[in-house]
Amino acid sequence: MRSWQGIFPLTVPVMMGYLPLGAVFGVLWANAGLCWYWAPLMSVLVYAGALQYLAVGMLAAGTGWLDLAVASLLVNFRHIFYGLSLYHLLPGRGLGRAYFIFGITDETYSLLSASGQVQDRQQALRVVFLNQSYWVLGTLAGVLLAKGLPPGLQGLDFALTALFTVLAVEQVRAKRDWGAAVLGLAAALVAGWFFPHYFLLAASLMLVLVLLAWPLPTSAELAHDHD
Amino acid sequence: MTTTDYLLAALIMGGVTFALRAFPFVARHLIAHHPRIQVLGQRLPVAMMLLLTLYAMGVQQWHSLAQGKAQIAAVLLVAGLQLWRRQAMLSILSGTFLYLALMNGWFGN
Repeated sequence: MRSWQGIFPLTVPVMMGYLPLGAVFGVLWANAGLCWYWAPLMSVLVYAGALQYLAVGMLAAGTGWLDLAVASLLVNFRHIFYGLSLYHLLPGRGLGRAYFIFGITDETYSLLSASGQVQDRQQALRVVFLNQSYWVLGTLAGVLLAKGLPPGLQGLDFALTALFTVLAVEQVRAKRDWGAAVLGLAAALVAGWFFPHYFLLAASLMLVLVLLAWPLPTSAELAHDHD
Repeated sequence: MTTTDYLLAALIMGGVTFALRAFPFVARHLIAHHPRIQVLGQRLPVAMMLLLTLYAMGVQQWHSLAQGKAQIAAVLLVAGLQLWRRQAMLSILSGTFLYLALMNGWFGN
């Protein structure tokens, strides 16, 4: 069994991402005029990078609770499929089990689902804990450093766009699903043209409906895929 | 915002996110054996990530492409670097630096 020292090197790539991205979240949060200590608390209680970035603007603008819930649902909908490849690492019971599920972020998922990297449940739980620690520490650093940054530094929030771009490139690279890519762009175009005020909601609703209605592969192909 | 507002926001975002992450453990059979949900799981993330990228760029507020010049340039840099080197931090930091430079006139424009 690997010790904490044995686990740490596995999480270094995530640390290199989470410290700076957490810090940018802290800076954006502080610059939006939100209460500073709620930034690290969000990283402790919510722990969802893209959603936390998105929430900065929504909370600062006083967006309604329903919109916040819908945004959470849409931004993190992809997480609904992550657990499928992590059954063997789910701790048996209690708090550890709940915390493991709580901590399945994009990066933690990719680390844990990569075959052979993490072999047992205790290791997996430690990876989850270390990764969240980086995110919380980064956030804390960002929110504390925010005051020292030059005012009028416009455009730091581009880090969010960049994060989504990287995730999009990796999705396209992994799946090579050009049909879905074109569908995403088409939904954006239609929603942007007809429903600019409900852009995200309208576009993602169209996507889900079209994909659910899409003709299925033949049953022979399905049996081959899933058994 | 009051303390209650912050707490409520955290509970909504955290609660929805936790429920999504817990779903496959609770509804294992539904997901594993429902072909349409399988298809959704395979194809939605690709489309959704592109959509979120466009949303974060703010395309829904553009009236012309010229409005998004800096966004487009920086996103192309990020995507290009990611395809070429496959190092997320390098892509993100380079793109953000380019965007900051364009927006704050560091290139003297």
